Amino acid sequence: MILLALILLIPMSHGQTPAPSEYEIKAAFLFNFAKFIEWPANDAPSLSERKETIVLGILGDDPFGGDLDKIIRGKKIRERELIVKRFSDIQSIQKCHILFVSKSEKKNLTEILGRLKNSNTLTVSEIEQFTEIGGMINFILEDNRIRFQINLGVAEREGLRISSQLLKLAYITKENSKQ
Amino acid sequence: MLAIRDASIKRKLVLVTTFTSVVALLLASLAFLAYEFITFRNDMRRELSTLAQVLGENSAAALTFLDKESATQTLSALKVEPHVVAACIYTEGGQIFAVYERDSVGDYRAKVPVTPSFGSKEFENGRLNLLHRILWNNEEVGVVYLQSDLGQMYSRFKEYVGIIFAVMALSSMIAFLLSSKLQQLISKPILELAEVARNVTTKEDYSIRAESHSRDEVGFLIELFNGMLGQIQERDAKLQLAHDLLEQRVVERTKALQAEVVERTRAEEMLEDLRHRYELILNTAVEGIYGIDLNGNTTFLNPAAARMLGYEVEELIGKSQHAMVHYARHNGDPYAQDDCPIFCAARNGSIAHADDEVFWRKDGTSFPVEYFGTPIRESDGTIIGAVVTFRDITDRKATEEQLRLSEIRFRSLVEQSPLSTQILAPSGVTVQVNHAWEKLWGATLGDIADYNMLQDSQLVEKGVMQYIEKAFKGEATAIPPIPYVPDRGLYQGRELWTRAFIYPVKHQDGTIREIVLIHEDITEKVQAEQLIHDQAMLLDKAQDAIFVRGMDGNIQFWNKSAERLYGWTVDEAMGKNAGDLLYKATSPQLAEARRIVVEKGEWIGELRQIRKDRSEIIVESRWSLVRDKNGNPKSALIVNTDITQKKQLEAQFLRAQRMESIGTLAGGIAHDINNVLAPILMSVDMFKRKFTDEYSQRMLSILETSAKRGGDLVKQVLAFARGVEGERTPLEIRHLVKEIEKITRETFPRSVHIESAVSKDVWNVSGDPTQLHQVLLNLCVNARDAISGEGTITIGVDNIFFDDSSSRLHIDAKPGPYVLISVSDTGSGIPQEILDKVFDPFFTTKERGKGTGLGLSTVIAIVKSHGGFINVYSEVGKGSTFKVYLPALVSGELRFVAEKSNGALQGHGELVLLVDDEISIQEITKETLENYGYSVLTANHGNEAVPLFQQYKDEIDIVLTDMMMPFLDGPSTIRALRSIRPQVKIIAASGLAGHGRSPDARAIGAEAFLMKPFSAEKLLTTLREVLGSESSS
Repeated sequence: MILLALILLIPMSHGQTPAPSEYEIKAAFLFNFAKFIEWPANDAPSLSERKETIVLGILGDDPFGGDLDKIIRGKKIRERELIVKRFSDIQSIQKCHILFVSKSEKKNLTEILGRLKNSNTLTVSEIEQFTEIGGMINFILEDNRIRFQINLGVAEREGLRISSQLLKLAYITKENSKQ
Repeated sequence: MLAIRDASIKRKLVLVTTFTSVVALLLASLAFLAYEFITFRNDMRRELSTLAQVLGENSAAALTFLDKESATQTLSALKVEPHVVAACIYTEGGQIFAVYERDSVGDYRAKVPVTPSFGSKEFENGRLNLLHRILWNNEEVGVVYLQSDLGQMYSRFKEYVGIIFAVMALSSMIAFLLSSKLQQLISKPILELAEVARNVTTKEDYSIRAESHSRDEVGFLIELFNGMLGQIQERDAKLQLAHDLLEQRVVERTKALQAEVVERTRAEEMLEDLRHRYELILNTAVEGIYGIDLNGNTTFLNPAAARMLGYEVEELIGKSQHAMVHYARHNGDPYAQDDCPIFCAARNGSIAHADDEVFWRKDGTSFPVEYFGTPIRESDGTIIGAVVTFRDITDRKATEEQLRLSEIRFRSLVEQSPLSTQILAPSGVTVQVNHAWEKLWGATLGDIADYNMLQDSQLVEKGVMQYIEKAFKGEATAIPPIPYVPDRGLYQGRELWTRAFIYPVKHQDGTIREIVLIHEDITEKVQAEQLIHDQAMLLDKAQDAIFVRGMDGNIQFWNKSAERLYGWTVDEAMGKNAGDLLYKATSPQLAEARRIVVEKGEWIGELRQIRKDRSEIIVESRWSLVRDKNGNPKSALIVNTDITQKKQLEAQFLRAQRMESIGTLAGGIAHDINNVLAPILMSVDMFKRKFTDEYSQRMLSILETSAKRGGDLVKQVLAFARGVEGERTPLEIRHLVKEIEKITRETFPRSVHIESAVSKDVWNVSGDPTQLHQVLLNLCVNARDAISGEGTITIGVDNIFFDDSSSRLHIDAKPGPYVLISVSDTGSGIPQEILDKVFDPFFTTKERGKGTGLGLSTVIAIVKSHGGFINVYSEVGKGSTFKVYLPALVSGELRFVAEKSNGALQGHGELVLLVDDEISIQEITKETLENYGYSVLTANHGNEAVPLFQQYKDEIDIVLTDMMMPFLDGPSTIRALRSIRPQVKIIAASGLAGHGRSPDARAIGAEAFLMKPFSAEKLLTTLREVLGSESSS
């Protein structure tokens, strides 16, 4: 169990509930990213979902369990509802606003990132050096706190505008030259 | 304000102008300031609000992603805003997320609220508090709080206020300067007018006019003033004219009058002078003076005369003097004018004088006068009247009368005085005697015509001539009483006790005129005193304490025996309250005695009293009431006999009786119990053979032991009851003591030491060795039990001989030789209250089961059956001594008698000082010593002994002193005596000084020590020993 310095700040945890787990926090962060990121105006033409929806996708094994569903239930961001979609592999993937790449997909990263190019998808993962190989946001653990790295270059390339506020909190990384 | 009211018009004008402008300015400034304040506040809030918004937006992400550091960093940017003292970011839930607090400025340390509360006061305590919701995507993510101090605002205000003051000061000054100049426009003409008016008033010059410069109200005023002055000027001129005329006329008239007055004054002065002289003479005269004409009418009268007569001068002038004041003689008889010498003086020219007549006052009273009347003649010799001077001689008459009365009084006093009075001439010859004198001496004045007191040899002989001579030299004196034997008269040759007082009567020049001698016959009084003295001597000889107590309880008489009995000397006792002196507390018995002696005239009974040393005595008291001449109770004569010793013997007798009856009773019961116990013991034997099992045997043993113990008890009781008749064989006590010593040494604890002191040649006694063994053992066991821890038991044996006197000390003692066995211990002692009961059967102080209470009663029974007796001395905390006296089986009597007859113990008139507070012992010892040819002086205690010794220090051969006495105890007495005569022989005596053994006599400063009670033989032997050693030393 990871001890968390900040224990009372998750919207769903009211009062004296037990300290939130790592994935509860990460789920909350995933949801919160949506607040600080603007997608291009035509962000959903290829998507079957209505424009009013923000889609959160999980690729691979879902580490959140039901936490993410609980967090987004009944919430809206910029008047848009949120839904969670789970994909077992890259082939079945559909258009998402944010895609969380599970650790289980570590081996397929290059393929996954390649496929998502120009899909305006915000890629998030917790795999080491995710941002360095073309991912956008990667969770890292620092002093028992969950922080994140952002590869701003990739995001801009995908037409995503990340709020300077968010950038202020993140470690900005760059793609490896090899990539 | 008053100061302003009285200020000059100039100043008023300046003040009004300046004040008005300052007030106007002040109001304008205040309005400006208020506007600035409100505007500034709003600006400030707006600024802070903007700041909060910026902060909120910058920290929205940090809040969302829980990045406290980032939020704190954002807040720290506030450092550049000096007025923001504190800031805080709260989460949506209201918890503090990030805090910024400026370092404390002065005393103030900014604090952020724990939770944000919207709606609280924004401006508070000089701070501006502001809360702002942080929105992100129209969603509240938290709250930002800012606190700003208002320093900026206040510093701005200070600036404003400073400016306002500066502006006001400057403008006030300018306003003041301007008004000071401009006021002259109004004030100058008014002041000029005032100056003119003042000139007119001071110079009284109404021709002065004021100048007018303007056509305004002031100008008009000046014109009116000038007109008024003109009118006054005109009227003034007319008045001056009239005044001048009048003045001139007055001057002329005055001059004429003055001349007239001078003339008249001179004549009047001359007359006045003359009149004064006469008046002075008349007025100052103390005597009354008046004049009459030929008809007897008053022509003049001086104030003294009028005052004496009680009239006013005017009332008598022109009236007939005789008819007014001289109309009757002193007894009221009418006095014809023709008989009046004064009238005759006026008529016939004779001189009138009288000092036995009276004048009558206006109020009808009269007073004696002496007057002189002298005719007044004209220059040709014709009489025209008389002048009379008189004086009031009331005082003179009164003095003369008093003198006469006092003479009579004195004469009768002397004549009738009960005191013999004799008046002598300075030569010593008697000039007058009174009745009392004649009665006292049985003689008349004629009998002593040839007697001269100054030549009376008897007076020289009796030592009183010096007093008489002193009186003849001019000094009053008392003559002490003497027995005088007259050589003439009725009582010739008889002794007369007189006391006298003698004093000289002197002339005015101090020479002696006569001597007065007053005698008092005190013959009877002297005889009565002698009688009382003789009686007192007799009372002192009485053995009983005799004293007299007044009805108030105070002691009025106290004889020698009372001194001896109570220890209080006459001087100490006289005047003291008998109740306080002789009783511990007021006893009902005493009250009863007092009541009965008054009722019946006498009372006889026993009283418990205390002596000076607080020891208690019992006296047989006989009270007789003494009445005064009128038959009223005056005092009680009390005769007390000391029966303390008698009472003690009585108590011993009663105790013996009680013991005997208890013994008889116990004996009877004991016998029956023996009969009960015998079958039990027999049965036990039988059962023992029958029931051989262990349990039965054990129980039967217990039964047997108990029964036997019962039997032993009964035996003891019987021994006590029957008086124990055993065999009687001659015994050597020495052996007995040795045996006991051995047993006790072996069986008693080591902490108890056993000592023995057996005299040589102890007599034998006739007795049962077993019983006496028991006696000693019982006493030793008791002694052991009295000792807790370390202690000593001493067994002493001594020969002792009781003679007639010493055998009185114990009821069972008979004169004869005894062997004294004493058992002393250093144990706890026996309290006084139970000392009496220790010999009672069944009385025990030991724990139940430990003692039977029969030990000492058995002892006393055995001793009694041997014809002896026991005494016990004990002091709590020090120990007890039991003394067993057994009749000796010797021809001791014979030996003693032989010694007495051959004179070995006989004294040779040596003087012994005997000191003992115990009267009985004192008496016995004295009797014994005197029988054996000693002289004895006695003293009750050391305080008596020391002065007595001082007095007879060369005659006293030996001192015998008790060691335990009140006031001055033995050792102190011995020291005191030695300090008077170091070589004096001293024998010390005491009852309980050691533990059966005599203490070292030297240690207490004596030559020898006598253990009490001592026999006559022991006393005499010791005396001979000590006295005999004198020759050898």
